[in-house]
Amino acid sequence: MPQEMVFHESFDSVRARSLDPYVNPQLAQVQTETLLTLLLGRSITINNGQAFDSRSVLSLLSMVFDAAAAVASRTPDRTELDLYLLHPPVIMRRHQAPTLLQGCITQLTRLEPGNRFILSAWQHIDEDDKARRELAGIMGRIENGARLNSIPLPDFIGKDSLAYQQLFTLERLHDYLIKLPDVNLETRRELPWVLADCIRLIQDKGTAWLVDTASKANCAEDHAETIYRAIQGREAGLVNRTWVYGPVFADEVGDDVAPLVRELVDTLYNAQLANSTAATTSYLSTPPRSRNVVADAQVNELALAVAAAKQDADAAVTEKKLDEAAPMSGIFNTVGMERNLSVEPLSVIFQAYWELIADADQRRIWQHSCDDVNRLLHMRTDGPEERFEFAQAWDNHLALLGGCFGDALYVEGDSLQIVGSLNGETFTQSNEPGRLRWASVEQAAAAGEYLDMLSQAVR
Amino acid sequence: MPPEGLPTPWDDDSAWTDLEGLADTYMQTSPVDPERMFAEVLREAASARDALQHQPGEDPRACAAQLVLSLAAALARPEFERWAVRWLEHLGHPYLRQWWRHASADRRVVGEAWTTDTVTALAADGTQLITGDRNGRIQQRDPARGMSASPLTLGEIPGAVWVIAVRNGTVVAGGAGNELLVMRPDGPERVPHERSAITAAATDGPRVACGFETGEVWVDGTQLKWPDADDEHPAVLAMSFTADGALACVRADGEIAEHREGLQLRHTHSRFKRVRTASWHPSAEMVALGEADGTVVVLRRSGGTWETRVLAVRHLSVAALGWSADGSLASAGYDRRIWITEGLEGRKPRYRSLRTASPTSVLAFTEKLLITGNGRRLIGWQRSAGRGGRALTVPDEVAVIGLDPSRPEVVVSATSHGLLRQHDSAGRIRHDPARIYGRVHRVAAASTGWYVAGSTGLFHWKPGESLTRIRTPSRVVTTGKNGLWVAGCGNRVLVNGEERYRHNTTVVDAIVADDGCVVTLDDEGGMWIDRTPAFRLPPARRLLCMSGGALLFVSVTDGTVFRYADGEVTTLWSAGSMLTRAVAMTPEFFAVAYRDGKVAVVRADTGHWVASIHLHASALGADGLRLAAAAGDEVSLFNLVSPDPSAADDELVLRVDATADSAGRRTYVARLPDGSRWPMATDLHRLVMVLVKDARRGTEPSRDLTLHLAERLQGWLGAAGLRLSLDRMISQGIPLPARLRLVISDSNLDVLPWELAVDQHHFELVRSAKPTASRVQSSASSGVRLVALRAPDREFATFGRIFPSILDRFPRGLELQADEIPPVGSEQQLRDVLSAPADVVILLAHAGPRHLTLTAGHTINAEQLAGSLAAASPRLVILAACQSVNLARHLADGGTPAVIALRTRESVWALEQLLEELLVSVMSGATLEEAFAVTLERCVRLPETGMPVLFMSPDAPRPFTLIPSA
Repeated sequence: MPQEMVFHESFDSVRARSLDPYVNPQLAQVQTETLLTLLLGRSITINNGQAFDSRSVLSLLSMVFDAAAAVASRTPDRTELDLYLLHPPVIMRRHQAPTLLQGCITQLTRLEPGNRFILSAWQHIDEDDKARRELAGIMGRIENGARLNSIPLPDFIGKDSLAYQQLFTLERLHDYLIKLPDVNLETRRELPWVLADCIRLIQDKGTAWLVDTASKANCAEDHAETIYRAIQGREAGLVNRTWVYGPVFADEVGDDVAPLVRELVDTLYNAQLANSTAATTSYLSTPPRSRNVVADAQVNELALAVAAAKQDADAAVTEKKLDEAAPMSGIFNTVGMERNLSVEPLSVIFQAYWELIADADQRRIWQHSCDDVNRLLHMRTDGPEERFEFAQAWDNHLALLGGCFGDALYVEGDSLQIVGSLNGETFTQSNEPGRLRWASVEQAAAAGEYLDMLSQAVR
Repeated sequence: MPPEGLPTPWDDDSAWTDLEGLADTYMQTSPVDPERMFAEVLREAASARDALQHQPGEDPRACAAQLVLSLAAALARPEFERWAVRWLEHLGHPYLRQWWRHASADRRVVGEAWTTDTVTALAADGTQLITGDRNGRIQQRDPARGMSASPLTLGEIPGAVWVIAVRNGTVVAGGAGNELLVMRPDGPERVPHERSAITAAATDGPRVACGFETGEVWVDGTQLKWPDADDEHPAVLAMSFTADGALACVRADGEIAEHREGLQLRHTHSRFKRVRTASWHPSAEMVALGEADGTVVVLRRSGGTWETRVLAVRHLSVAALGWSADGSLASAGYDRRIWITEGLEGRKPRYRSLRTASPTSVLAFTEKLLITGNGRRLIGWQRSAGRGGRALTVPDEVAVIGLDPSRPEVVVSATSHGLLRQHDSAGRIRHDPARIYGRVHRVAAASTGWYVAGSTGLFHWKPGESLTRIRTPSRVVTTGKNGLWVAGCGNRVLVNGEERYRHNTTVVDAIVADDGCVVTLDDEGGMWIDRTPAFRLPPARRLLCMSGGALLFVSVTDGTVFRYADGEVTTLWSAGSMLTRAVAMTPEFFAVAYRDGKVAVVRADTGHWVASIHLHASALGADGLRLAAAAGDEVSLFNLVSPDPSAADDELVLRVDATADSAGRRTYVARLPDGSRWPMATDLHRLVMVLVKDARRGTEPSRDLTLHLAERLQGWLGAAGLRLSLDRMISQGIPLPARLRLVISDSNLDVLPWELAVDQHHFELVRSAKPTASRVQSSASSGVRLVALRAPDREFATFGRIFPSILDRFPRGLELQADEIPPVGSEQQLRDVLSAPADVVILLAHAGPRHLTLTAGHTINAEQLAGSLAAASPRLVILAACQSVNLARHLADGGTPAVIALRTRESVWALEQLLEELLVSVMSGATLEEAFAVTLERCVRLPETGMPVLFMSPDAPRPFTLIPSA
């Protein structure tokens, strides 16, 4: 099993729902982020909730499985399973569910008011209890060994291509987990902290502490003060996702403040989920196409700093701690304005990844380089010496990937950039070690680029 | 003497560091352009005060002199170089002498400009270039005034500019913002459209047209329909007005149509292929299509149909196309290559390519230049290849340099894109570069070729021959004495290709100590010495050298140099955190590069600066006193020169000795005038043996082989140290060219073209024998007796006819006794003719390696020839006979002061040319060496001639003239 597992906030199911008319950026964000994760020799971790109800995750898994199948079909003596065994792309963490599909069934049949599970990827049947039970029944049959193509499907699945595709992907994931039991795991039972603990920390420490933390995290102090005012009087346990996505939230805190608080809560919530999946790294990002991306990115940084402080008993935020919290950072962007840009579809780039895995010689070279990078990445916060050795290994890795992936990958300075298209739209994701350089973010924003999202990673 | 107008520096102290004043003075006195340019550059450099900053302990005068030296080297002003060398030698201060500098940038690049925003569209009309950027700004530039000349903003449109058309003073621009901006000489006009983004535009001056992303076409206020019925069409990619006023359009599905009248376009051709980009020829008679699969197709109007020509070029994906006014087509793709296709009107197009560091997204031809753009960068390219046009390499940064101790004439550089190049003794790249994918970390000399440690493998590279992957990825490879080589592949350490031990993590550095002990270091600081884990250092240490049991290493992060010996680490000195890289030249000297753009040679034990240069080093390599440094895409080779006034030498002697190793293998070692010894490289030795064997068999060596060998010898000797001797000569005021006496211990090497292996501007090489008795007259006699002889063969009769005309070219006042040439058919006849003393004897005959043929079947050997010449006691013998080097050596050994002979076979015509050149020079009062050098240079240029050699007695006077001086 891979040693390095990454949790991505972009997998969050609230970001792309099945009835949302335009979700290209959200889907592409998940895919480009995942590609860069895989190229570092890591696997993504998902929980059963995301696997079942995140449209982005299901779309991603479909892409990953399709690409593996395409490569296996043209590679002699290789099956998809061989490729997965060589490098499992997905690690499953089940939360209080014996199997993936049992988890799906539980969530589908959680219908009682107050505890009802709100569906995102299956939004079109969210309020249809009969359909939910019917879908749960189908999943039960798959769980019992029936194949999807042998099960009579109701119209809401059979005549809805997205729903069918998602159900088919779930079946493939179910097969994947059966064949690779090592990656089918339970969530951690004991978490070091939950969202409410972080909120409580902020409330206990007061506004001055939050402002100071913000300044260390390159977040505007105004944002910290605004957020503090919005949450100070509320019970910590009630500063949660239900509140920030509730119907009265914006009225309650104000239209300008709501996105900032929501970003803080989202980031902390996903950091908590990341902890539960035992990911070695989490990649906590702002949603694409947010209205004020720079502010969101700053609050994202602030949330990471709060999480880092909570992680540590003394709750003191230092530069070193923030560096540890963000060993890798990145920017997701559209490149729609670039004419004549030659781009490969993301599906082709996923195939290139599996080609790399299928080639034993290349894989060994790449794996060794990944090992170096990941080992030294964790050490790089120890001091300038370690940073130097990491920089050397990173430079080596970038050159290696540049050679393997050609024009799909660009290397600019320290950043590794992937460019790919999804449904005819071109997106790019660039990652670099360390914390994001704000100068470059602001410069990009000022130049009018479609700066959609900023990502920060936390260990 | 210093160049005219320059002061003799040591005569005037105040001028030593007043370079600005010096430059001003010199500019006033020198109207010649190159010198003015040099003076201007000197003034600029001198006024940049940081260029003259120096470390404590460094002589500011030496800094200034070094600056002059480096500028002069960079601008190829040899007289200034010599001047600066004299200056530095006078100061007695060590200095770094640049021997060559190589810039890998394509010579066709004339300049580049950076725009404020990403350029998204380009067009050109005559010399004017129009650019459009992603913020909608349209600007005009004049590349003829320099690429970086300030642009003039013509106008702005909302959103990114996607297309620009320009013709007869009218500029049309459109793009993402659905607005067409028409700029005529009488004022701009905005035409808003509510359709979609504008993807094509055309103008012929008065008329204007544009095409849209949704396929519509608009011309002068009228919307046109496509003949196919659909409402939605692919985008219009290109349009142009034809000479007869029609509007021609091409769509993204390969559909071509034109409009002459009415509201509908008329279909003319369907390509049925997905087209990414298209461009019309200026006459609209041809259109180039860049198809999605990377193919470039040119459609040519032929009557009512279109001829299709698929070009041989193929891109990864065609990103941009553009036509020049004379019909050349440039295409660029994401493969970072630009192809220029010429002669598309004819049957066989010609293709030339350019490589760029980043993919080109827009391009256009101005009158003289091709302009390409990517992001904010615009590059101007000359259209023709020009001098050195084959150096079409990626202008990326050189990241690694390798030197070979046994082949001092070659240097290897590797760029950050994995391009491997071998530089010869003048910095030139002789072989096509090789490419490895990924990063090159280290290069080390192999017995043949090089080992290359890279992120995709450990390679063995033979320049021009092969690049073979021999191992898994490697971060380090290095070599020691006796062919020992060490590589770190992952955590494994290989010695001579065999795995010896393993570190816990990746091996990042290795050295071989002078005693053969191997030291390796991993990325967590684990150090092994001689196969044993020694101790753990903090990471980011790099090894420098190990000598006499002491290991020196440096901290890359703070520049501290440490010494490890007897189990103890001590701190020696610190180069500071500005250090970027350091290499050991010798155990005594290190070269250190600093972040602020300096490279210094420092003492290994104290860190005291010895010499420095101003250079932002992206790579350093060193071997002995040679230091190679790269700054960006430029590679330079330096020598550390330490002036030594006591080393004055009466005579410059180059010795080539033969030695044999324990296995009986013969090797040659050159002993240079400065006393240094340089073994001949294995591959050079092999090449030499080919020529020697040819000569033994009496086979004519090929001219190409001879010239190639001469070049290799030149590189070997030059790089080895002849140029150091040259500096010494310059500092001692020895006039150039100077006589360099070649003493060869192995007569087999007589056939080598040594004369061509030295720079004739600096050295006149004469071969030296071991005369049994010297008969050299110290001065020329009052008169000259010249005896010319020829074998009776009919071939030589021609010389008899032209000899009188040669005599006519001699100076009138020369007191000369010379007769017409008698044919000599036997040894007795030869003795008879040479019974009286003669100053110069010329003998024209057939010869072999060991004999002279007078008539068929009548040969005389070397002893007989020497005997025949004894009575004449000549001062100069010219053996105008093929392969007569051995005979010449024999005569020289016998005491003849000077003998000229021929290495190879030659035609009689060529012999006659040679004799004429030589005799006229000598009889005009030139010294023998000068006359020989002139003759040699001219003979080399002639197609049918070989190369003469000159043997001269060690006792021969300097200068050695044959006629009395005036």
